Amino acid sequence: MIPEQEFETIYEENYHKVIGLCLGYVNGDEDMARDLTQEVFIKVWQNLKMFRNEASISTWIYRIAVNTCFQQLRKKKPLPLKVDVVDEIGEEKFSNERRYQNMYACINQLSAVNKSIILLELQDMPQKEISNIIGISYEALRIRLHRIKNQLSKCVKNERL
Amino acid sequence: MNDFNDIKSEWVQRNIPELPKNGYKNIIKNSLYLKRKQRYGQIVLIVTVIILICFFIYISGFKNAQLSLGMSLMVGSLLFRVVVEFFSQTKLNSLAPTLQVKAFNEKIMAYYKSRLVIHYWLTPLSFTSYVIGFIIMLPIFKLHVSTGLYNYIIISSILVFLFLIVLITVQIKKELKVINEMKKDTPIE
Repeated sequence: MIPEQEFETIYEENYHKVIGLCLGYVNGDEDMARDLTQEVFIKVWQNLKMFRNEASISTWIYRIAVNTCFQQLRKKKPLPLKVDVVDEIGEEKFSNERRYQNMYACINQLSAVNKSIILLELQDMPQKEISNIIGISYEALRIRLHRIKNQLSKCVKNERL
Repeated sequence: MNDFNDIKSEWVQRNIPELPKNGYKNIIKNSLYLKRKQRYGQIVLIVTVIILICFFIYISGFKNAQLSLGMSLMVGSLLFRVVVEFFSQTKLNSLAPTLQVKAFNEKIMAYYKSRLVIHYWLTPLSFTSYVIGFIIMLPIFKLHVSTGLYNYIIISSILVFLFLIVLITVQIKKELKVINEMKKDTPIE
């Protein structure tokens, strides 16, 4: 398969996973998430020749995504997500947006590494692959993930009270 | 863990932006554009270095020791700074984003620490030698240009030097902030 066709398939299969991850890094800001996703796939394209099948393509892409989001966000912090006024968008949509805002805000309180771990977990990545992406042992990841889940759940519960 | 399962099910229900039409083509196009931009940047740096080296050779032919010394310091410090920046940029561009996050973080940290060496030592050193070279040249300027032009050179140079000090300070603060943020993150294992 020629590289461009291969890349098209990779792009279409992984776009939603990557942008879903990036949204978590930028407080749900869709414009910033799109820019980050663009950066990620540029790096995927540039490094595709070097992919050696030592991991699944999704794991490899997630590694690039996490590293790219880390790097970019150190230079530019995302603003808190603004929720539209209830009159303009309706009660139910307002309530949903508030819930997402709380969720993103709580995720944002985590350290950069813990944020990456929980976002990968939320994206349904198997834990063994998360440990491969981050570069820590599977056992260390399980312990850490348990603590992060408790921290996040507590935060979201407090925000909603 | 029920709370976390609730969070996870909400996460899945979020609105995710649509796949852009022909998005992959834009990626390939932008990648090519970025590569070209990098290439032009490198060419400009290399041409600058060549011009400075040629100028260095040219002025070393002058019999005036004061002129040679002043120009050598000015040109030499510029040349040095350009070369340092070239290698620093090359180092950053070579950092593979395909590494595991822990390894990538370590390399980025090492890169920013090397930037600190550049900012705290090499930049002040090259800036100081440039200023010393300029001061050495002042009597020669005074001899060969009008009073008006000489005063203009002094005033504009002071303004440029002050601007450069501010610019360099802002850049150092920015990179220090990045390093401090990286240190604050929970160490990876």
